[in-house]
Amino acid sequence: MQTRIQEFRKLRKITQSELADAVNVTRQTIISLENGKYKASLVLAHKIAQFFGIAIEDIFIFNEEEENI
Amino acid sequence: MKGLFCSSKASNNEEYKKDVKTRMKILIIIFVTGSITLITSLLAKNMQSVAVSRQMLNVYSGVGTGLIVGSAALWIKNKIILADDEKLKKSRLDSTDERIREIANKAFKAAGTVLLFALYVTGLIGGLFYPFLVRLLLYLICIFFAAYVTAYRIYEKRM
Repeated sequence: MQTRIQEFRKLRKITQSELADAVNVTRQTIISLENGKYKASLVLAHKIAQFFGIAIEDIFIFNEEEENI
Repeated sequence: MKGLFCSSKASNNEEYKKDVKTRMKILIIIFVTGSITLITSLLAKNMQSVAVSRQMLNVYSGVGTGLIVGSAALWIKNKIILADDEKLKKSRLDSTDERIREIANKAFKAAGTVLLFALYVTGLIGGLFYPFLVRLLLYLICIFFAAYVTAYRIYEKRM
């Protein structure tokens, strides 16, 4: 799954560590999310979206083909 | 082994402190179990009437010593974590991080598959020399699947 976490993070000048601290995960999890290696749970996706003050679908790009829908 | 044995649902350091204290209590139980195993094996070694082989008594001594040393080292590590807020936070994130927990679940699943395969091969080859081994391994595999089915049914009702 692709995300726009890095884009929003850079826009607001927030480091990966700061974001990780804010949503209670390790920095490595943020790196994996940004690289598209790991899919966030609904709770984590909600926390990240809430942190940036935007909707989940604005930050997590849902690919219907990739998800076999 | 972090995600496997040390997972936590704590959302802040105070909640996590309680989890660490519970973990330390479990480590004390493991320490006592190790001490009992070691003392029993040492006593058995000095008794002429005990019909357990010397080799097995050495194995029991080794297991007991391992449990004592391992639990003591982890207890000290947890004590240090409790005393340092920065280390506590890092440990909490390592224990609660959903990615680490998912990795641990996947690794556990892979290890379970390898274990079943290893049991099958051991039973197949070892059974040629020790027929009892086949029966023992079949019991173990039955326990594994029975535990899996039971746990599956329980979680099916919960989720």
